[in-house]
Amino acid sequence: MNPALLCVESHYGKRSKLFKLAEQRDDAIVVRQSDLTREHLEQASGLITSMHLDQLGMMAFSEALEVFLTRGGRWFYNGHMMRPLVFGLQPYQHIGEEGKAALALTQLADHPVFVGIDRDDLGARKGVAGFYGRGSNPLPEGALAITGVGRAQAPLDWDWALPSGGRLFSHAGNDLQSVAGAGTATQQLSQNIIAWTIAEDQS
Amino acid sequence: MKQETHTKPVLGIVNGGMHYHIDSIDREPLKGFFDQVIYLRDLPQFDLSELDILILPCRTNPHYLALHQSQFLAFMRRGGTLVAMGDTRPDMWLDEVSYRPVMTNFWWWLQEGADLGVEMSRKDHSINRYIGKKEATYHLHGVFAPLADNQQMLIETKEGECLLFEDTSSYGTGRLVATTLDPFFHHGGFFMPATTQFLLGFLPWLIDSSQPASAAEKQEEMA
Repeated sequence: MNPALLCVESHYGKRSKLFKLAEQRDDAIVVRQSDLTREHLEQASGLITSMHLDQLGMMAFSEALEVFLTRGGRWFYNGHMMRPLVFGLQPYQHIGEEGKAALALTQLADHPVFVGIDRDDLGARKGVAGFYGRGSNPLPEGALAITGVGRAQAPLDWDWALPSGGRLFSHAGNDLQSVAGAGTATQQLSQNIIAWTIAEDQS
Repeated sequence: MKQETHTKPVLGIVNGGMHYHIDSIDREPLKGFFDQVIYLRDLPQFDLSELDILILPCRTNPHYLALHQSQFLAFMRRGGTLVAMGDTRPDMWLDEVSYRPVMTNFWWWLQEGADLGVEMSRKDHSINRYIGKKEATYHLHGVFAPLADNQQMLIETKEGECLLFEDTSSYGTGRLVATTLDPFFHHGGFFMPATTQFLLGFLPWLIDSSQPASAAEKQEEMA
């Protein structure tokens, strides 16, 4: 069977807990970005990329990504989008403020990715804010803002059902599962991210 | 000998495509420092002799860098300055470099009056006019240990282990500057203001302490 979930690993070093969890599944594959081919994207229905994604290298797959999304694929994107890889996206914007109050998170909508997670715990670690994210990949037209950051509630997390098909979840910070600390929340977030990415939209 | 004309050295930087590389390279306040930007996968086709300084920014995948070992060695032997930033692991692609990871304490500064203990190693070195303890202090990932004879330690831990060294003797007329500090990663992630200040001092030091290749050749001819 073709793997439904494609995880693209871009960094040097230890494999993330999320990708370790994914590779235990029969329907998932973890591919180093240097080994990524169009065939991988053609066979997958879900895609997870990390904050270390080589966005310049990924631009070579822009067309394949559009096709992947158009046929209903889901992409869970971590990181600052510096090279809009899909039509309709804009480059990352930092909120331009520092400090705990300026970096406060606001829950703007519920989302399956956060089921079973106390989102109040994600805003700070040891009382220090900013680990979750400090800006946004600007909200595409029609996307649903999930988490806001700062006084202006910049859309740090959003979920976009593309008009042409497919879904894109954007988390404009360090890899989402890494912000929950070492506890069970990391495992829960990882499971949720995988579940959302391989889910299909109800028609 | 004083040069009659001083041309600015040509500074190149590798772009690995990660957001923290792109942000550091494309956006202010660092954008103006870089004369040439080379995408990592374009390195095989790029003629490094166009450059006087080549920076490999933090977390550029060392497995890719290892493929270019001979290119980097030739660049330094022609008089170039190669700069290996944090987590580019030059120990994996240069024989003379040794590295040991250390546990990262992200929280040391939460205790009032705490000092990570980073120190500038040689008070008489030119780097001290550009950066100091304050700019080099945020957290640690590893140390270069043991140091080879030619590796002159410029920044160290409180235990006296190397965080940044310069080697002006092992690679012909060239220079290797290597650090385990990862300021590009944190600057590009908008995370630690000290790292931006580090780079705003470190990059001018690299430029001011490098000679354009044409000047170096002229000096050699006159010697």
